[in-house]
Amino acid sequence: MRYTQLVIVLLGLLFSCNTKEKEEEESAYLTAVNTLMAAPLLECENLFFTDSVKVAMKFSLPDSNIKYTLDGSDVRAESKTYEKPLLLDKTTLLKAKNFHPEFQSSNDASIKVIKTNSKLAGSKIDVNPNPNERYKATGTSSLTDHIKGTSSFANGNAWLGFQSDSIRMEIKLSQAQTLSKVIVSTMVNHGAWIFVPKKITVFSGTREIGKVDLPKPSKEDTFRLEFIDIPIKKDIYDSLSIMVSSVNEIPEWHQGKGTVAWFFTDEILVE
Amino acid sequence: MERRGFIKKTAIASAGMLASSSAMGMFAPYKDAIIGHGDFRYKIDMSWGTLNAENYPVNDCHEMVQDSKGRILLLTNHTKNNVIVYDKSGKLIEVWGTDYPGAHGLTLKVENGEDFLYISDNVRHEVIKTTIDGKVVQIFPYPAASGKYAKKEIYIPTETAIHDNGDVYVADGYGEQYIMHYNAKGELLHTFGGRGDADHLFNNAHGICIDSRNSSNPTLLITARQQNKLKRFTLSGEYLESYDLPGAYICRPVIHKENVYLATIWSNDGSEGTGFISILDKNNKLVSAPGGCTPDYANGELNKMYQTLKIFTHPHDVCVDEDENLYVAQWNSGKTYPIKLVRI
Repeated sequence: MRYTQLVIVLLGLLFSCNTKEKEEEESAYLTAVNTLMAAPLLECENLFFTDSVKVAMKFSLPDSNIKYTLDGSDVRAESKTYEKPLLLDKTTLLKAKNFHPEFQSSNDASIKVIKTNSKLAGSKIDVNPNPNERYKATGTSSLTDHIKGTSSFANGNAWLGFQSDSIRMEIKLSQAQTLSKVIVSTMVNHGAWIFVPKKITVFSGTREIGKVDLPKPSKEDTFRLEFIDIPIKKDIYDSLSIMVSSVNEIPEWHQGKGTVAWFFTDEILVE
Repeated sequence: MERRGFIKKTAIASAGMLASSSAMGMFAPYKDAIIGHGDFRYKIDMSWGTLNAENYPVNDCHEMVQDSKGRILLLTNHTKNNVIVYDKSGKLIEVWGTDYPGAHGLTLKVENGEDFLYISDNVRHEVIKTTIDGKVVQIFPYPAASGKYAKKEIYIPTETAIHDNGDVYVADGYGEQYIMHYNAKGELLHTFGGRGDADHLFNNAHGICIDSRNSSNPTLLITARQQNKLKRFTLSGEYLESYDLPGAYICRPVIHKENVYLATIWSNDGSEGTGFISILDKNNKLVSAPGGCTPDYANGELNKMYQTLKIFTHPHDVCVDEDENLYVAQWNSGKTYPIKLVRI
């Protein structure tokens, strides 16, 4: 009701500015302010790095500009404007968003780059069950190669895909190390029936040393590359066992409802 | 009608929010969005053809054609009304069709002065030819004679193209990726294509049309949707050349005058909800991408295409009228009716 006056003003504007539309009141066109921009594209060679990594942003729509933050905060009109590729030398959550004088600002795009000195290289990893025949990358060594998979999970060499209630990964470290965190790199791709798991538990032998419960999948959350941090009891370990509990029933709103979701991982890191 | 009302209300509500969040908002220009590039730019009519979904429901809106009377026909896989006939303003004229659960491809061909429709039904696993008001005149069943199909179920036709001599080409876009070539009597003459990465093979041979822009040498244009390519073949099925459209998951080629229009269902890496429209010039170069990024060729290669404006979800077909306005039917897009793009 409080918009009534505004309606009159707007319709007035519409009719006075454009006689063509006056004749066709029924077919008013979509306005620019009601047209949402897509988010900018963020590109980097590898989400894992040891020294530094270059991140480029891309969006080709005349008069639009990209703004970004590096501290994980939401991007606002006052945030920095993107001009050229950024060189990042520490673990960073980058968020970026498109602004335009006429179109509606985009949602945030985000990317997390991880500086890692994870010493899993050379470790032996056994997985049970084995990954699906179609998504087995180059075997379990893919999990420690510091190569981040891209969104195209099906034709890369990075992703291991599982469709099972639970997946157990036994890691035999090449040497005993002091560790306080395990990071599992995964993907959300609801269109491809790939979900973030329900729960990840880390064991040393039979002793539980860390656990995270992940939030229920949300309908709006369609695609994302995700890192799951699992803090573990700080100690010296020579082996770890990671137990992934998949979403065993895809929620009601999804076409795959009731079936076991896919779990995809491309890298395991320790710190 | 309800959707029109809804869109207006949404527009007003957001304008209201702008006004309250900024004093300037009240006087900000209330401009129409304009999309596309170069000569091919459009205003967007989101409410075109919207009907009461209880009376005239749609599921996927797969394809659209314009008939000789200038009417716009929409094919949907809702069996309450598989074909919805509109005038160009989006007013309902009539509906028909309850027997096409997999209604997917719609091609119109004028034969001896009469309009005929060819419906590719991917649930019935066959192509049905009808009169313009829906009387069945011929069925092209699954091509057992090809020797490529052990059973009917693996033949999942998506599109047809009809040559002036009456020959019918059927693309098995969701099946084994062969192209079937029949004569007008429905006798299978020849089969070509098939699944694979080689030039003459397909990954999702989704759409097909006859390119008569060179009237002395008509050829076939066939989309390889997952490969982001448009491929040209002779009418007897020999591969000629491909046009690369990186990042553009193109559904079917539609030729109007010297241009090729292609609904692009996904873009970039193929994520959900990233569609736009692709328009090629007479040299088969992308010149406009309404809803997509600016087309740019460097050393003859097109930049990888992606969506820039969230107008379309999953565009599945484009119909071009005589004023070069576009009607866009969408797959899996919340059971919405087509969107009209009015050329400016």
